[in-house]
Parts: sequence; structure tokens; C-alpha cells
Amino acid sequence: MARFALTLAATLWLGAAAAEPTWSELDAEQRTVLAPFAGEWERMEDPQRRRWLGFVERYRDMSPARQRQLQEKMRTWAALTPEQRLAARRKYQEITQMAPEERDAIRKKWQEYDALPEEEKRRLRAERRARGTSEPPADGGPGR
Amino acid sequence: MNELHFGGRVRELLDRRLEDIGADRLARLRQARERALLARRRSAVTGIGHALLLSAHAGTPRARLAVAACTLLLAAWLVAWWHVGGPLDEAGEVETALLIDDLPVEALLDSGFQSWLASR
Repeated sequence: MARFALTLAATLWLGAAAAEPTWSELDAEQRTVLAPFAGEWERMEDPQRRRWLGFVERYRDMSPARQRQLQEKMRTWAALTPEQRLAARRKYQEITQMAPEERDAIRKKWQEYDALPEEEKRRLRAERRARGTSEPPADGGPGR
Repeated sequence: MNELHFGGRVRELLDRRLEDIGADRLARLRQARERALLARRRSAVTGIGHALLLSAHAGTPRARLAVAACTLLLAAWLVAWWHVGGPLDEAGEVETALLIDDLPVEALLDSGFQSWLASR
């Protein structure tokens, strides 16, 4: 009985200890979708890797236009520093706690803001800095 | 200063302190967390191994069977927990939702946009 139990436990242990795949173990599609995170994949914890593998499943069902949009967003995200990611997550959580109409208003306002002349945006950023807020030093985000 | 205002001030100060942590320190904290998670996982597996060894030395055959069965149940639960849910990845969930959302990442980080929103 004890021998049987040990064998079974060892099997379970091996199952539990099996980590999510390394970058080289991913298939071609997974590597293509997750390419923006290639550099940090090996540093990710198992739950993170699992989440991204689940993301690939969802990605597969999206339209090509949506996939391109997401790839662009993933590249932007991958280029952020840990502080910028933390700040973005916090801001996003704040937005998700708003009423749906408020969230829609923010999306519309972003489009209006994005259409402003670059000089006006710089002025607004400088104004924010002058007020000494605790915003991250991300002004304009990457590539802006 | 009322309680609500005081709470808000404390939160603001704590947030600011967290943002003051440099990238290298954040990376070290992350590595420490990874090591702690691995250690926790190892200790759980070691515990199961010890329990199974103990079961082999338990008094009567029925007691040995009971200890072994309990240990295996615990092991099965651990395996299911790790594979189905595992440790919470709350930040990751937010990250995925944020990426799938229509709102660009820049909108969350552009301080000019925050300033512009405040002036509307």
C-alpha cells in the first residue's frame, strides 16, 4: 500500500512540478503572438505564462484587424518600465470602477485629446508636472 | 482633518512611496517573490513526501491506509489548485483586460491627458 501511495504521489508531484513551457517549447503560433514578450518570458511565473497562453487562444478567434491592433498594443506594453506598467494598471483599475457612461466618455475624450496639436499636448504635460502630481515619468508614453 | 481626508492622504503618500522605488529594486523584489513562491511549492511537496513516509511507519494497517489516503487527497487537491487556479495573478488579469480594451495604453500614462481631463 505504502509503495503504491508513494508511486501515485510521485506521479502527482511530477504533474504539479511541471512548469509552463519555456520560450523554445512554445509552438510557432504562440511564439508569433507573444513575440513582444519574448525577452521577459523566461522571467515570468507559471500563472503569468498560463495566462498568456490562454490569451493566445482568444487571440486566434479575433479578426486580423483586431489582431494587428493588439500586437501594436502588446509591443507598447512590452516597452514600458515596471513603474509605468504599475501606473497604467492603477489608472485602468480606476477607470474600470467608473460607470459605463463615464468610461465611454473617457474613450471619446482621448480621441479629442489625441487630435490636439502636439504643442498643446506638451503644454498640458508641462502644466501637470508643474502641479507636482505623483504621475509616473511616462509623459506621452513610449514612442510619443 | 476628517477621517476620510486623512485616509486619502495616507493612501496618496503610500502610493508615492511605491512609485519612488527604482526599477532595479522592483526587479529584486520580483526575484525575491519568485524565490518565495518556489520555496512554498517545494515545502508543500516535501510535506507530502514526509507524510507518506510517516504513513509507512504508522501503527496498524488501517492507520497506514488512512494516513496514506489523506495524504494523497491533499496531494491531489494541491495539484488541482496549482493547475486550475494557482497563486493569484491579479496584476496579470488587469494587464490582459487593459490590453484587450479599446483604450490605448498611452491614454493611461499621458499626464497631458490627465491634465486636459481635469480641465474639462
